[in-house]
This record gives sequence, C-alpha cells and structure tokens, in this order.
Amino acid sequence: MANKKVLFSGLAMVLTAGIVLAAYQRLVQPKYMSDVVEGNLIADYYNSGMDHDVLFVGDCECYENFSPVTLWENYGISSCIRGSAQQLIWQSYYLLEDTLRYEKPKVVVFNVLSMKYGEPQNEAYNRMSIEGMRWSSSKIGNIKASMTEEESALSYVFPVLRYHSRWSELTADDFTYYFGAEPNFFSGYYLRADVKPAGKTPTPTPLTDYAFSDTCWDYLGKMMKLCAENHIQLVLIKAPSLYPFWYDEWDQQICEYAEKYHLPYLNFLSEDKLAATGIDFETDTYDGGLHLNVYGAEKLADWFGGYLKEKYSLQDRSQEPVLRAEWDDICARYHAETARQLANLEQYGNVKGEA
Amino acid sequence: MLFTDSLFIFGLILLFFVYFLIPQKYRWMLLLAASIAFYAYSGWANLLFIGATAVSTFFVTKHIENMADAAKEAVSAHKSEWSRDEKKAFKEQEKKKRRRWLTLLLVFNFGMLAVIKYGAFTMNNVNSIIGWFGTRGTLPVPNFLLPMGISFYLFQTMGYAIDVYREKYACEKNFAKLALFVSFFPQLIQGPISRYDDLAKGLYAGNGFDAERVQLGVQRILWGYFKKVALADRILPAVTLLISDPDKYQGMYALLGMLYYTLQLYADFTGGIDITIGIGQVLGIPITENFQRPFFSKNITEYWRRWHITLGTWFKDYLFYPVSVAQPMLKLSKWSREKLGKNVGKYLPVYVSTVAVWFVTGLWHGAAWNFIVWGLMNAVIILISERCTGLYGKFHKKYAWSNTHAYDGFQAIRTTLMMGCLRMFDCYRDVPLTFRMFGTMFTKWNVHVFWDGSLMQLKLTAADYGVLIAGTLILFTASMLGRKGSVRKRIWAKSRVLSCCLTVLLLLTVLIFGAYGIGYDSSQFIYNQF
Amino acid sequence: MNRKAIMAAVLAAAMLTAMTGCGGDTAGTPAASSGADSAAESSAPAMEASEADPVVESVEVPGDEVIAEESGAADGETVQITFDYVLNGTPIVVGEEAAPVLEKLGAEDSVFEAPSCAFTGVSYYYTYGGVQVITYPDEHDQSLNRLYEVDLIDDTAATNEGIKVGDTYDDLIAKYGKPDQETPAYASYQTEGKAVRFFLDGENIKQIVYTIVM
Repeated sequence: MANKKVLFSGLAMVLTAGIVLAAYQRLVQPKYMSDVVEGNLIADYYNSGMDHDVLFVGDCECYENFSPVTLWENYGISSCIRGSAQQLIWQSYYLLEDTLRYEKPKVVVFNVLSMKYGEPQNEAYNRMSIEGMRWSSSKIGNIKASMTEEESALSYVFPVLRYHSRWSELTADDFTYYFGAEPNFFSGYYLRADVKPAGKTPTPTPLTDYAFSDTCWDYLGKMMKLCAENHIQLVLIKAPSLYPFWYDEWDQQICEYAEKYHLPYLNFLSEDKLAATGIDFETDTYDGGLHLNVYGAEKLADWFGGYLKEKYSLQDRSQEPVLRAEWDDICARYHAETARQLANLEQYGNVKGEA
Repeated sequence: MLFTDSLFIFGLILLFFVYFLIPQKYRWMLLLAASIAFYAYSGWANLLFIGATAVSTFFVTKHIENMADAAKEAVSAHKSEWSRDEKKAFKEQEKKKRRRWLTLLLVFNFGMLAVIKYGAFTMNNVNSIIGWFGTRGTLPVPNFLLPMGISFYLFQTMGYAIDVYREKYACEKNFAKLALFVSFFPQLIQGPISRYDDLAKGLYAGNGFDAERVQLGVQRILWGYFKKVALADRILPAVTLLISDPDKYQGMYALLGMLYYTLQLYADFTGGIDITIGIGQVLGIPITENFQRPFFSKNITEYWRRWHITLGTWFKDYLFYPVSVAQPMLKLSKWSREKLGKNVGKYLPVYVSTVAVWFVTGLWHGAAWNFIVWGLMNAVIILISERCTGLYGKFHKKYAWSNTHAYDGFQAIRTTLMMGCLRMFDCYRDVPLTFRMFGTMFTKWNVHVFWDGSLMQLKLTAADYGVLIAGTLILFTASMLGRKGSVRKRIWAKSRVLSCCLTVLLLLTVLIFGAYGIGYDSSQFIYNQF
Repeated sequence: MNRKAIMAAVLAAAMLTAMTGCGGDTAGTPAASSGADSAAESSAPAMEASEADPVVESVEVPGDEVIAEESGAADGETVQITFDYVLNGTPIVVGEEAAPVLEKLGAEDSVFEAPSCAFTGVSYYYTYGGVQVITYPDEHDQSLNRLYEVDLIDDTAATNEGIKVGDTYDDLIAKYGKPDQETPAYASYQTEGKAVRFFLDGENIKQIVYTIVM
C-alpha cells in the first residue's frame, strides 16, 4: 500500500514536470514566422496530403530557384522541395529517406553545391534542417551526422534543453503561433518578388584543395543507391546562383562522377543553360545573384519542366481531383503572395511591408 | 567527469534505480563499481594513483594494527614478569615501530601528491633561485596531469590511516570495502573530506528505499544544481572577463569582480557539496556537512569553522594538534617561556602552529605563491583578532548597540567582504597584481560604472542580472530559514504534497533558469582543481 | 553569455562558420575566430615582439607582425615576410574589425554583398583597383564585420615585399624564400593564425591571398 503510494507520487511528479516542460518547450521553440522564416521549411512538407512526381532536395539553391507552382500550372507536374538553409548533403540524404516513407516520386533532383561541405558546419542551420523532421530513424541519422562538437543529441530529443533561456526573449510571435505556424511556403518554395540586379561578381579566391571530401562522395553514392532501389531517377543539378562560387574544378569532379554512373547532370550556370532558360541576372534575382526571385524561379521551372517531361515522360496530372484540390489552394496562395509583395514594394519599397 | 555532464546525470539516475533493486548485501559493491567507472572515465592512468593509495593504506594499516595487537598480547603475556617501567619502555618501542610504518605510508602518499601537484612549482622556484646566481634555470620542470580529486581522497585516506595508528578504531579488513571508502565517487569532485567512522557505516550498510529520505535527497541534489547552473555558471563569464584584463577592469570593476567571484565560488562550491550530500542521502549514506551558512559568521575564525568544515577539522586534528604537541614545539614553548616571559611563551607555540597550518592550507589549495600568501593572510587576520579578543569583550560590554541583530548583520557583511578581498589572490593568481588591484578599489573611483550601462557590457544581460539577483535572494532566504533546521524536512513534515511540489519546482527552475548548453561556457567546479 | 535577440537562442551560435551567402566561399574553412581567439590573437604580437630576437630588425609597419625568414634558399637575401597587407598606407590585419580599416581606405571602386542564408549577417567584397578586401560577420555579433581576406587580383598591386601577379615562381622564391607549404598550384607562407598564399598558373603567379588560417 505504502509502496503504491510512493510509486504514484513519483509518477505524478514526473508527469507534472513533463507536462509543464512540454508546454514551456512549445513556447520557447523558435516560431520562424516574422524572422528567419526558412526555419519552417522542413516541417511544412508534412502538411501536404498529396503525392509528388518530382522531389527536389538541397539547399537554398533549390527552395528559392525553382517554382513548383510553375511546374504544376505549365506541365501538370506535382513537385515539392525539401530544402533548408545551408542544407548539407547528408541532411539532403536523410530528408530523401524520410520523404520515401510517405511517397515514391519518379524523379529526385539534387543540387550539388553542398558537396563542398564535408563536415558539420553550423548549429543554427542544423536546427532548421533537423527540428522540423518527424521522428524516424532518418531523423536520428541526420542528427548523428550533422552535430557539431558543441551540440548534444539530447537537446534534439528535448529542444527545451537548447531553448530554455529564451524566456527572456519571447515575442508576440511565440504566443500567436504557439499552436502552429501559418503556411509560408508553396510546396517547399520560398517566394521573393523583389529585384536586385547582380553587379560585378567578385573574383573567386582560389582554393588550396578542390577535392570533395569522402564523406560527401559517400552520401552521394548512398543517395544514388537509394534512388536505384526505389526505381527513382536521380538528376544532379547546379542551380544558377553566381555566389557562392562554383569552381570549374568542382564542376569537373561532378561531371566525371555523373558520367561514370550514367547520371544526368545539368549545370544551370553554364552559358548554354543560361541561354536556354533565359535567366537574366539583371531582373531575375532578388539579392544580386545569390538567389533567384519568383521571375527567375518561374523561368527556370518552365524550362526544367519541359526537360523532365520529355526525358522522363511525366504525365500531366492536372485533372486528378485530389491533386487539383491541393494545388489550387497552393496556386491561389502563391499568386496572392506575389501580389502582396508587389503591393508592399510599391508602398514601402520592401516585400515585407516594413515601414 | 563533472556533476553537470549529462552522462553523469544519466548514470546517477540509473544507479539510484539499480541500487534499490538489487539485494542489500551487493549494494556497496555496486557503489564501488560505479566509483571505479567514474574514475576510469576521467582517465585510466588516474586509477593507478588512487589504486596505489588504496593498496598501500590497506596493507600498512593492517600491519600497524597487527603490530599493536601483538604488542598488547606480549604485554599481557608478560604481565607478571615485567616491571612497570619495562612495560612502558616496551610499549614505547612498539609504538615507534608502528610510527615508522605510518610515516612510510604518509611519505609515500604525500610524496606522490608532492611530485604530481607541487613538482612543477618546486622546480620552478628552485630554477629561479639558481637564476639568482646568474645561470638560467635548466632543471626539468615536470608536468603531470593532476588526478581528479587527489587532494580530497588522499586527505581522507591518510586521516583514516592516522586514526588506525591512534587506535581510534579498527582498520578495515576487506580491501574492496576500503577501496570504496577511498574512492566513493560523489566525494571525488569537491569533497567533503569524510572520516571513516562517519562514512563507512552508511557506505557498507546498503540501506533500502525510504520515501522521505529519497525525496529530501533529490531535493538537495536539485538545490545544488540550482546553485551551480543557475547562479555560478551564469556569473562565471563575467568573473572571467573581469579578471582577464586587469588594466581595463580596475577600481569599481575590481570590487565587482570580487563580489561576483564571492557569489560564484559560494554557489559553485556549496552547490557541489549539496549534490554530493544529496546523493548520499538518496542512497542512505550520511555524509558530513561541509558548510554552515559561512557568510553569517561574525569573524574570520568563525567563518573558517563554517566554510569547508571538513578541511578545517582535518587540519586541526591531523596537523595543528600534532604540531602543537610535537617535541620541538614543546621545547620552543619552554625556551620562550624562559627567555621571552610567561605571556609570550604561552602564545608563541600556538601562533607558530597556526601559521604553519595556514601555510599548508594555502599550499593545499594550489601550488602557487598566491595561495600561500592567501593562507598566511588568513593566519595574520586570525591572530590579530585573537590578540584583540579582550578588547572586543570590553567593546560589547560598553556599547549595547553592538549586541543587536543589526550589528550581527554588519559583522556578517564585514566577514563576507573581508573573505572576498582575501579571495582576490585566488582570482588574479599573482601576488603583486592582487595588491595592485586591491589598491585600485580605493584609488580609482569610477563609481559611474554602476549606472552608466557598463554593467551590461560584462557578458551579463538584464535577464542574467534578474536571475542572479532573484537567486541570491533565494539563497539568502533559504539560509535565514535554515537556521531553524532543514527547510526541506519542515516542508515534508507539514505536507507530502507540498514537498512533491517543491521537488517539481526545483527541477523546473534548474532546467529553465540554468545557464547550460550552447551559449554558456561550461565550467568545471572550481574546487576540483585542488 | 551570448544570447542574442529573437531566434537567437539559435542565432547566437550561428556564426561559427562565416555565413556568407549559403555558406560562403570559404569552402568549409571555419572562418570566424571566436572573440576569445581574437583576443588571443591581438595579444600574440606583443608577446612575439617581446620574445623576438633583438637582432632581427623589424619592418616599420604599424600593427604588422614580422617573422624572420629562416630559409637558406636562393641567395640568402630573402626578406622578412609581412602578413598584413598594406594598402594606401593602411595595414589590413585579417581577423580584426573591418569598419575602422574600411574608413581609412576611403571609397571603394565596387562592393559586392553576400548576405547569409536566412540570417542577417552579410559578407562584403570591396574592390580597390587590383585589391579585393573580404569581410565576414562576427560569430557573436552579426552586425560586426571582421576582415577575412585580402586578394591581389591583378598586376597593379604588389605585396609589401614587391611581388605581384604575373611574377614568376622563381621571383617569389628569390624574395620570400622557401614556402611553408607548396603544391604545383600554390605556395604558402604562414604565421600564427595568418597566411599569405601565392596561387600559380604554371610558372606565373595568378593571384595573391592574405588570409586567416585556423
């Protein structure tokens, strides 16, 4: 009897502490709504109830450079992007693994810029890439592969251990979005409607070593294997961003790899591709050539949609009711957001509408 | 490994569960295994040192006891044959033999400490003395990694050996049990320095689960973590900053540094001890208290009876007392009584012993001159107030207001400040620099730093100050309430539910207001350097 | 106790590597030095100065570190290498705060901004004739920029020792002595935390880079 009582009070204490902490954790976790919205990209995927034929995995060069809405509207291709800021190659791999739990796309597109990072880089970016994932062995693998020396795996399991001190920095957003974020993205695409022409690109600093690390090659190999096992076509691309520099020596290594394993590799920075897609860095970028704006992303998606449709005979699925219902919603939001940003630009001179 | 390592915390929780689930007679073995694992984790080589101490102590104490028993038997066997003087002579002779063994043990163990901890210090000083004669110091300076907690377990074990020699109690016949006494892991980081007769019983008893004890123990552990991670670790970056640049941070900054360090050290050290004693309480092992609201002391002598108590009593029992009654000291006493008069003769040996003990206490804290000077300064203050005892008595008799609570408060603040000033030797680790910085507190009157926003430039935000101020008030309140007995115990007696709430509240406070994780410099408990 | 404003539980540790663009051009070289490191760096010259062999004459450039070239290569007339490029009389010390130096340098010919992905920090590429100065946001304070690298990109600019783009490898060795590190693609001279690198195109120098090394 006494034992039962002790057990009961012990459990009651643990439970109470757990509930309070869980509630507190929700409050102090970053909401990524007004600032650093990119933090919500990864979790956004799980809101979708439809399947996708094309899946993009990669960093900002994916989620800012291709417009899935254009792919849908122009070709009836249902696509999504699983990308986050400075997404490292193993993060892309584990996100691919994660996505395959829910659906099996026909084509996976991987942007190769992240081949340049062979080691864990940055806690803040790790958080944005990993925390949005649902729990699975892929998430655990991602945590293990991504952690910098100062991080602890435990703080991914219990983010309160990471954010506990944010009580002094809470803003209205933390309360407004306590129960969830509002959709900010369009099938993983981050829309920007402003224009900042690329000026003179600086001279790249030569590197002392251009070889990609073994870790990156391993993950590229794993990605290839995973796609092969699932009968998915893997397409390697280098998105048209002038900066960070994409060195010829790097390009050479990817070309050789693609040739060796019979993978298609499209370098959108090459002159013929720039000509074909019609990307103009005077009008199609919002930050001087680092990322494309919505006009650039639409041009790129339009060309790429044609390429994918022709090469991999993707069907026009625009008449399928389930897809249509969700895409109609995305497209409507997309056009409304474009209009909103343009209006803000007109009125305030910036897309956010900050006075 | 530190108390704040997540591995330690997980290990501890696991240990608690396993400890109560296994049969009573195996529980002490589990503790030994845990202690070995704990020690091995911080480096296998460390096990060698602690192992050498345990093995040498085990055999020597056993031998000493056997010799004592044999001597007693011999005396009783020859009871009728030997004269009184013969018996006395025999006993003396036997005792001398035993003392030789004890000396051997002490020399071996303290020699180990001397080489490891003080080797570099000694050689550096020898080299600089050689340097006075014009040649550059060329003697090699050894550089050992200090085995964790060596000063704590060594003092504890040697105290045990001396007690066995003094026949205070029988020696431990089971090597594994002795090894547990030597290496009991919660004490390895910051002490306290326990006595065998206090600790051993609880250590080997394998006491079962007791709801009240476990609850209060857990609360004590959490209270310790609160002090450690919410206060000490939070203020540490400011302390580090303030002492890192003595040219920039002078005057009121030096004062701030002194105050911050006082809080930091107090919270860190007493927090660590709370964790240790709390762990013992959960496991049903009473561990000696090491602090008793030291900052409420009326003077330095009292302070040292209430701060790091086990170290003070160790020195008293094993150093001060033997030194005071040692032959040379008795001779000195006799000589001074004859040559310098009765009054001086009475006090001189006491003073010499006091200075000697404080010299060693300083040295115990670290192999550096700043610690030695710190120790000697303590001795000077203690001796001065000792000399002035009579005057104080008159003063209190004459002025009624000097017997009020307000005056007690003044004395407490005075003690706190005085100890803070002395502790500056510990901060700057350089004797002349410490004096210089102390001087700037009076010569550089930059009081504007208190309100011109400078406080916010010390790696502390407004939120940090909020937590620190609230935390200090909580510590103060808890100390005030604690004068009438354990607060946790009183709450338990009043209401079980309330006690459970306190546990949950403490846990949440530590997790939410603790300065841990990325963005905070994880610090080691200050006292495990010693 | 670097807890920054919003998001900043995240942001605080954000600048462990220079977040230039989506990771920048540093190709995985952790660029930013922590505050503590830079403190150590700034005290390093003083220490070196006091410990330096008094026989070695130092070049009178403010804020410059000088090391003695020990190499017995070439004809023994190698110079002492300086690791802080001096532009228009202003030494550019990599790792130090950028603003005061930029102010002294005056108007640049052009500037390229590379904002960090998702965050507020910005890396800058300033061009002054044939010299390109690169800055990166500080690890703890994204609004504070530090000097990261100086590139000499054409033959209008020469190193303090007089080597410029277009000179040959042999010219370099004659002036600088044996490199600390070299491959057919570059020759590098290093000191505590800094390096000057000469990238080669065959026999000729194609670019010269003063940079932080970890």
